[in-house]
Amino acid sequence: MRIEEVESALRAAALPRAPRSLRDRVVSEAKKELDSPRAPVFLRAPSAPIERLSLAGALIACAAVLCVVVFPPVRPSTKTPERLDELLACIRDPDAPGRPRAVLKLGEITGRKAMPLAASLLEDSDRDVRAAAAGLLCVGGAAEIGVPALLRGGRGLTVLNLLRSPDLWKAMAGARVPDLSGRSAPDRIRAIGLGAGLEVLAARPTTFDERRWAAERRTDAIPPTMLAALEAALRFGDGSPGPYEAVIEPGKIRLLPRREAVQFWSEWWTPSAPKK
Amino acid sequence: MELVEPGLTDAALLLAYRRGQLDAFTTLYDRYGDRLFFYARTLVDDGDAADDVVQEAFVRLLRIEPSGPDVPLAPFLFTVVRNLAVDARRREGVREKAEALLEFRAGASAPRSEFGDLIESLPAEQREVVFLKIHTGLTFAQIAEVTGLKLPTVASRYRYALEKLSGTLAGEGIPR
Repeated sequence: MRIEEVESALRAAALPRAPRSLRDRVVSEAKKELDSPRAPVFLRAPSAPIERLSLAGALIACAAVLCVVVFPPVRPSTKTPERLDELLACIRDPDAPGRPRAVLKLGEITGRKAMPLAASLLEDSDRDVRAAAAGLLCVGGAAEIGVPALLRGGRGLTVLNLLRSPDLWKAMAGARVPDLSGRSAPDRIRAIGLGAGLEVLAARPTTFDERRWAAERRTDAIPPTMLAALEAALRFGDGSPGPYEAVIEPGKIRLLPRREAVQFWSEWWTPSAPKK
Repeated sequence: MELVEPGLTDAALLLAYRRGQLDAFTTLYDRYGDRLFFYARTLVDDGDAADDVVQEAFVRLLRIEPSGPDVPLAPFLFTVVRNLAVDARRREGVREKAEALLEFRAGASAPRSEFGDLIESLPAEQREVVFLKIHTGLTFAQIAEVTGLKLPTVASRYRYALEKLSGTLAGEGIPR
């Protein structure tokens, strides 16, 4: 008999079932732990920066921003479903268009309940789905999982400003954008900074993509809030990821080339490193 | 709508539990409970002690921080069960080094099972490796971590065990 056949026979051989009473005892312990006022912090509440915001508000604001801007529908056929069952079906279908937006929409609708699903999507084959899921986890209070995933992907890092500068993020998410139509991306961002009272600092473009992004004449629609407009401006006019990520901090918006941005946020996230 | 799906990773289920979804933890238990019980039952003589070992392993699981979303919890759980089994045997008054006496008794003191019957003819040290490899999805490296053995030892025990079973089962026919 071949080894594979032996393994197959062993796999097919049943194990005895654990007593039902054991399951009841374990689940009862888990329930007690969940209800316990002395339960560890991570069982009871999201991390501190999220607590300062309303979770629902943060989820809706962020998901709306990301939905509209970060993953704009390229074709009319990629319209994001609205119903929960349709969203789940869309997310589960690897070939469905608009999956990243569906992930964010799900977060907007279900709030924290979407977090387990978002965590499982960090292994998705679609890079944009992974980025959307990671962003959702960051917004939903699961930064310990979302941030490393975002840093691995190196995209959509601007959402990390929510964790680092929550007050500024909230202010920009709620502020209406000035008239920016017809300007280049750097012009738009400077105007946003001016409207928000923030200086915009950016290194001179050096790579081909940076020069192309800076010189592109923008005609794409401008979202209504400053934050959404900033994230839109950071992308190319066709909605593809741009070469910069924004770091929003008191008094200024810094535009960092993607590689530097990954380094910056990685250092910020590393627990032993001093927070900038 | 319930968002806890059977296909979620271990860490995702643990995260869901920590966000207040008890169902996620139940799913996690259902994923590992029987196998952990079988493992515990083969390492300690007493059924009640095996129950306690498994319960304590899950209680410890409640308090760990997974190191990432893709990190499976199986190595942690089986390692804890094994360590607790060693402790349980110490409490039973075994004077000698408890770990040395830790024997995988599938087919002996443990409840009878199809799997236990199949591997009954193997030496105890091979049974444990075969169980962990076949029924837990652990890699050889993870089994080495759980058992404290060296990786080549784990691999060779598994190979010898399957070769032996290959001869045995060929003579007897595979039980259905």
